[in-house]
Amino acid sequence: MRTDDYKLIEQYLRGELDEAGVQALQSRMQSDEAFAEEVRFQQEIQSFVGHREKRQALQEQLMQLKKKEQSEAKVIPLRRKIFYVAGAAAAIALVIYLALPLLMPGSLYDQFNDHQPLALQQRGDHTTLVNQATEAFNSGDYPLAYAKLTDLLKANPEDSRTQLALGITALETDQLDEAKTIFETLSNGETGVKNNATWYLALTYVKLNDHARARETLQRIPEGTFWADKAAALLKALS
Amino acid sequence: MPEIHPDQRYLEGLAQNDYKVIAEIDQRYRKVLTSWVRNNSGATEDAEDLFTETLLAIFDRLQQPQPLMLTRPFGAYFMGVAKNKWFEILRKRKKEEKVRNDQVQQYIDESDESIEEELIKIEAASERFQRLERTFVQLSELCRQLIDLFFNRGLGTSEIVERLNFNSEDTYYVRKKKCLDRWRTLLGES
Repeated sequence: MRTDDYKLIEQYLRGELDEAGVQALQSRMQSDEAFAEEVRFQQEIQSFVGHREKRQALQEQLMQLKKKEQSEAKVIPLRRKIFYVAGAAAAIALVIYLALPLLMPGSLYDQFNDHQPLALQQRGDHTTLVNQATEAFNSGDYPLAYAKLTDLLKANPEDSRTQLALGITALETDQLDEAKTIFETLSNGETGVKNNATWYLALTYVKLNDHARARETLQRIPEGTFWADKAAALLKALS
Repeated sequence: MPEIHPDQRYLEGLAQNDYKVIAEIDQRYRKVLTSWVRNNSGATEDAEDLFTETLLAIFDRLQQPQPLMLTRPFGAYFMGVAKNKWFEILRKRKKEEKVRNDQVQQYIDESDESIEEELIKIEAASERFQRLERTFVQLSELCRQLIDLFFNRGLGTSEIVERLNFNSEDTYYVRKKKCLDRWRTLLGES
């Protein structure tokens, strides 16, 4: 296989060949088994890497649903046992909920900064760093997680999930300009964390008390996605 | 030609990562599966893992070129796949004799053998994905980045050259060839 063959296969996979080019390539596949094998292998890789990213997104959605069910399951028995006490507590909570935004501008952020547990892909040569970053993030030690994720990104700057996690730790540690830049880039890109990043960009604006931009950003989250329900709840709280 | 079942929409939603469809599947089948697993030598945690593994296996199957057309309710298909996976786990734990079919019967018509063929396809799809995944993570960081930038993000050659600090496009092609050869070797060894 020569470099020209690789260039030709790239053009084919990108859909850049015209009809005659495609026919010539397919004809060569019939007469040149090594070339045909290379084309099929690269087609399989293309299919695999796209599927892999969507698969991770599905895993995250399932994890989130499980977490939601677990938190609901905890609430129901409690309500049965202490119905009247809970009612009174709810009334007090409502008063606090209504009064708190007037006293603490950041409180709306606190109501919505419920992060999904971090589950980064294990990488053969950086297993320890991945584990340290994950443990720090999931235990809420955001300054340490920020440092570990920064190191991890030096080794793999294109990993969108690590970028997103770094953005969240920047947001939690009040490095808001950096958080905004990370989320804007991811939100304008086409990776599997696009909607996650748009949500976090809106949360960054909430923390900056720029509610108008937070609303604009939330409206970019498409219907039918996991983030749409959260976006609707935050929009309601902002209005 | 059997008629396509209206529950085909579940497969379409799953293939698109449609959150509402996934939440509906979760709501309808997670508890059913948990109850069945707990009645068949398993714990709630086993059921949680099995639920996720089953949906991921169906997701992998949907990636295959042969189309998957539901001719039965989605619940029957889902429970058929889950049950098969659970039998496999129990076989490993040597408890197969303890499995009872009572609760899953309502979802599976045992006389229909077409599910058997589908289970073979689904296992093949899962196995293929796992094999690619296992070998992909063994590639160097640079190879994984290069593969991601070209095959997943569809970046142009000049942009990849710039992002990965290659000296020239020729360097990129040489490196890409090495990465793909390495991956092919790993697949051959696995």
